[in-house]
Amino acid sequence: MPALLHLEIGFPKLAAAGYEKTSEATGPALAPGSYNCIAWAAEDTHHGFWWPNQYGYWPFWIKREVTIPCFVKTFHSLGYRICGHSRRQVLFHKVVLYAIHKSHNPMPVPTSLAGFTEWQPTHMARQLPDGSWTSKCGEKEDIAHFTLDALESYGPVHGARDEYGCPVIYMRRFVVVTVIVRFGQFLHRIYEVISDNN
Amino acid sequence: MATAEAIESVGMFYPAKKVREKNFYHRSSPKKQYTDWCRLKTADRIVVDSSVVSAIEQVKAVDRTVENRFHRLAEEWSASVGNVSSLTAMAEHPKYREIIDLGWDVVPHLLHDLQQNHRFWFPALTEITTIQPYDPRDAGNSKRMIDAWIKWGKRKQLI
Repeated sequence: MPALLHLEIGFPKLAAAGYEKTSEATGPALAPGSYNCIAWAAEDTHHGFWWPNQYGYWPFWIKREVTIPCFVKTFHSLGYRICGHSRRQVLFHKVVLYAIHKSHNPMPVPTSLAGFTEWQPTHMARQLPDGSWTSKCGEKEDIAHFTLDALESYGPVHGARDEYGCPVIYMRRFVVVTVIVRFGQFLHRIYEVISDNN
Repeated sequence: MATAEAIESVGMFYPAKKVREKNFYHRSSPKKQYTDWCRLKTADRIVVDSSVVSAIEQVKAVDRTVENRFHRLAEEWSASVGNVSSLTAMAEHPKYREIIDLGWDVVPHLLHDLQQNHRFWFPALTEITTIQPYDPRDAGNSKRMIDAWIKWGKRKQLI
């Protein structure tokens, strides 16, 4: 597999951790068919760029604010619950939220949600059945990375071009709930296609 | 001008031949160096390397129009945020802020690029024009948001 140099430059640990390209780049944020890591983690690429500000898609039942609690609340509504670790668990699907401290320096991860006031959410990854992780890096390719620290990055001062910070919150969802939520997302998509055509 | 600053400027403009002849930089007192420099003829003082001038002129020529500046900044911004998923981080990038600082003149180029390349110019357009031509319920529906901006641009005869 040819190396994805633009990703390896952005994430210094990626090459050492190991990764595989799993799709082509989708192009600019607003291009048809483009989506970001949050949409990829939520398995809802139909809605393109998920982001809780006034320009991105966000589930209408969650108040939009770019904070860790807002992300947790949103994925809670998709059936995920916070769990303590990233190891693969039978009958559970997992996602992980990356965030960076406002100082853009590596900092100890707070133990409670209330402690994340100084942190900015940056990225999400979803666990694959074999225990590795899949990420969509901005408008670039989807990759499967074997470890979560592969995408740890704190900007130019710390030798990386990108600033994903580190994994801070792990969430898991029971497989039966996954099936129900996927069916709900499917119905939602059909409703939107029909209403768009009208 | 403070003496130290004057000496620095001498370093930039003083002809190399004269520097060698007078052993300019090896005199002990900066004040004495400054006095010597003041005694020189104006023609000797203002000697600027012609290659530096032409390089500066070339950069200015490239950046002379808003369109050129926009395209340069947009390419640099795109290259920097390619791996970024956060729409907040994209709009807070220094190059993006520079594009916003170009003001109303850049709006037609933003609209054209939005239509052609689908790059993320919503925050820039909203910040410059202070309007939001799409329905708030369409937030996240990029097709409708782009259509609304293009329609507005056509009505205003910007594109």
